[in-house]
Amino acid sequence: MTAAVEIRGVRRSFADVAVLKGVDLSIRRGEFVALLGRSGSGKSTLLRILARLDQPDSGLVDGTENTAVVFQEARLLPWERVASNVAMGLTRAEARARVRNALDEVGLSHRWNAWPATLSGGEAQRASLARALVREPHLLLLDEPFGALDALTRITMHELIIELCDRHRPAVFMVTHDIDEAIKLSDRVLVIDQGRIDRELRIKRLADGSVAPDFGDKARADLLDALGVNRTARSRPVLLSAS
Amino acid sequence: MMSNGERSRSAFSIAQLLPWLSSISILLLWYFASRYGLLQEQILPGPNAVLHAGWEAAEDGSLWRAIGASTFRACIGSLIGFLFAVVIGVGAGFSRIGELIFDKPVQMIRSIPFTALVPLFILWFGIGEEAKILLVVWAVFIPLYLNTFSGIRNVDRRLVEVAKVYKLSPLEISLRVLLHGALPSVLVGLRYSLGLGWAVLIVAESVNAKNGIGAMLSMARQYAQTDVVLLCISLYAILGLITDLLVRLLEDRLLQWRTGYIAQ
Repeated sequence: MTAAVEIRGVRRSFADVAVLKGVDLSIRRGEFVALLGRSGSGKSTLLRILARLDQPDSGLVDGTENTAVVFQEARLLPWERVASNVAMGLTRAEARARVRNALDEVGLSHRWNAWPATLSGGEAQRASLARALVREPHLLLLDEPFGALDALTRITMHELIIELCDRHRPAVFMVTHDIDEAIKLSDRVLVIDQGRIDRELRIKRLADGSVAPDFGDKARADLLDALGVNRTARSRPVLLSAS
Repeated sequence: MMSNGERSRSAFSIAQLLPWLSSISILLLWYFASRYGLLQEQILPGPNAVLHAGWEAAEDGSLWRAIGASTFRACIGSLIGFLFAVVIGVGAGFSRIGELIFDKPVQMIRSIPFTALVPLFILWFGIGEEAKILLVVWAVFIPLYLNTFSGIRNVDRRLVEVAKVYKLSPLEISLRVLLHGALPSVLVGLRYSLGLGWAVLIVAESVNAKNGIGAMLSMARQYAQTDVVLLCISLYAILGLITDLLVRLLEDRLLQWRTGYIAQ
C-alpha cells in the first residue's frame, strides 16, 4: 500500500502568520480524501502545496508529480477551443485520441470545437475535468470544484466524479466546505483547523456505495462539531445570550 | 415576427448609411462652395481640383513613386517596431528581471516627443532611409510596448497557474497564455501605433526626403500648390484608413473567441 502522495510536518507561513503548523497526510491510489475547514484554515494552502504551486517552509512533500487540478473556476484559456484546452501539456501525438476519449467520458464530445465563453458553468467544469483526466493523473486535486455550480448540476457532477474516480483510480484530494458533499464522495474526511489536521473520519459505506442514514447523521454531527459549529447555539440568538 | 424583423433590418441600414450621408454632404458642400466662388482657389481649391492634381500625378508616375516610397518605409519601420515591442513587452511582462531591465527606460523615453528626435536622427544618419525608418520604429515601438506590457500584466494569473500545473514551459506560457491573453490590448496598441507611425513619417519626410508623400507635400507647399497639398493630405487619410482596416481584419480573425462571447 504505497502512497501516491505523502507529506510530513509541512509548515507554511505568510508574512509571519503561520497558516500550516505541521501537517501530515498520505493518500493511496484510488483513495478519495476530502478536507473540510473554515475559510482561512489553510486548506487552500495545503492544496497548493500538493499541486506544487507553493513550497512549504519546512517539511517533506513526496510522491507523484503526475498531478492534475480542477479549480472552483474552470480556468479554461478563453482563446482556445475546448479540445485544445483539454490537450494542454500533451504532445501532439498523444493528444488526438485521448482528448476525444476524455471529452466522451465527461459527456462533452459534441462541444469539442466550442469557445469556452459559450459553455455553461457545468459544461466548463466538465471540460476542466476532462483536461485533468486526459493525462491519467496519479493525484487528482479538487479545489471546491462544484462550489460555483447550481444544485442540480452539482448532483450530476457528483455522480460523474464518482464514476470517473472508480474507473481511473487516482488518489483524490478534495477541498470543500460542504459537509454532505464530503460524506457523499470520499473514503476519508479530514478537518483542518488553525493549521493542523484536527479530526479524521472514515466513511463506512453499504454494499451499493451509499452511506447508512444513521451513520451519515452521526458523521455530519461529528464534522459540524469539529468545525466548531455548535448546533444548539445556532438555533439560539447568540447576541442575546452574550449580553 | 416578420414585420419585426423587417423593421430592425431597415433601422440597421439607416444607421449604416448615416455616417456616409454626412461625409458625402460635406463633400458636396465643399464642391458647390468652390464652384460658385465662395472659396478662393488659392486657399481651398474644390474637390475636383484635388482629383485633377491626383490624376496628373498618377499619369506622370510621381504619385505611385511617392506612395511606394512612403509605404515601404512605413512597412519596414512598423515591422521592426512591432517585433521589438512584442518581444520586449512579453519579456518585461513575464519576468520580474525583464521588467527591471526594460520597463523603466521605456517609461522614461516615452515622454520624449518624436519630433524632438527628428534633428538628432538626421544628424546621426543623414538624409538616407535609416533616419526615417528608425523614426517609424520608434513611433510604433513605444505605444505598442506599453500596451503589450499592460495587456500581459492584466492576464488572469490563475490561468498561468493552470499552465504551470500542466507543466507548460516558460516559452509556452509566455506565448500561449500571456501573449494570447494580451492580444486585445496588443491590437489596440497596434492600431494606435501604426497611426502614429504614419504621422512621424510625414514629419520626417517633409523635413528631409527626396521622395515620398511627405517630400511631395513640402515641395507643393514651396510652390504654393494648394491642390497638391490637399492631395497629399487625402493620401495620408486613405493610407491611414487602409491601415486601420487591416488591423481590424486582424482583430476579427484573432479575437474570434471574443465575438463568441459577445454573441452569447
